[in-house]
Amino acid sequence: MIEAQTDRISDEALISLVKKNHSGAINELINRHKVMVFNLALRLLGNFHEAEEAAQDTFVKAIQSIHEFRADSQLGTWLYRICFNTCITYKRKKRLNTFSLSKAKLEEHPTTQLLCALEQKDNVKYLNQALSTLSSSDIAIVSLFYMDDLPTHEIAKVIGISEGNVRVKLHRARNILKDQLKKILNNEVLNL
Amino acid sequence: MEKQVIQKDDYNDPEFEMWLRDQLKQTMVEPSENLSQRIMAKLDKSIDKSQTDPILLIVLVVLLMLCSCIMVFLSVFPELWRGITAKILVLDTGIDYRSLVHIITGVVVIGILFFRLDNLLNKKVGKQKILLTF
Repeated sequence: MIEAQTDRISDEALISLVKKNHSGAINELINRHKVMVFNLALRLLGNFHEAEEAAQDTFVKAIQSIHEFRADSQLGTWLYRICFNTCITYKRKKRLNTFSLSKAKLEEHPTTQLLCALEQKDNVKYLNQALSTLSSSDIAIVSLFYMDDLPTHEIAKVIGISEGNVRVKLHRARNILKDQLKKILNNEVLNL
Repeated sequence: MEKQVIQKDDYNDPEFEMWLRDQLKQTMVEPSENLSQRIMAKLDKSIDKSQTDPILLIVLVVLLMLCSCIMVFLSVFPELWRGITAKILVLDTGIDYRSLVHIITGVVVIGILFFRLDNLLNKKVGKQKILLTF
């Protein structure tokens, strides 16, 4: 009954329930944001298991410090910021290669078969190659903007830079992606 | 609304934008089905770690109360009563009371130090269980 009620409530009401340690609300908060948090971590870390670990850490940190959450940004934005910082720390610690979605590691998990199947499509494979040339913050900006349709002022809060800077970085990242895709496609054509 | 304005200002290749958005959305992956349960389990674990052992707290409080009682007894009650209770407790002089207070205080201080050290190590080492836990 409680679980059903938490399905429809707003983020604000959900936060106040989480502050009271309501397990149903905590579960609902995780379910609402886990896909995007996980995908942001996957884009940044490039490894399914590492991304799941980072997503877990993100939610644990967020729920433990929920009392520090101020309503000046959206809950999702706050979670992405924690996730972004967690992933950056992971990368520093483990020196993971950005977006090294190696097939061997992806095939360890059945869910990733979907990604492998998608990777078989050439355009996705080329896009992944192009994305690997971007910096962590650029990957996060591109992912949040295109995958989650987050506005630039919210992305600025996630990355911790100004909105103008986000726009500049987004513009530059898009141009890099375009150039990289052209290069990759040219190489593919030459190799035929 | 804001995004639409930005798109009009900055984007010179709307076809590429659309393609990029579609492709990126297609590559979105569902996490494991049990991710929520694993997060909940991790949360329960971390709550357990952060909680103070109630037995340790009770021991510390009892020892501190005992210390305070002896100190109060030494300062309030006359020499005669101190002599009588010393004989009952098989203690010879008032100095023994002081040494008793010193011992108890020492035990409490060492207990608190170990407790803090345990907490610090738990925070530093994180996932591993520390043997120093009372």
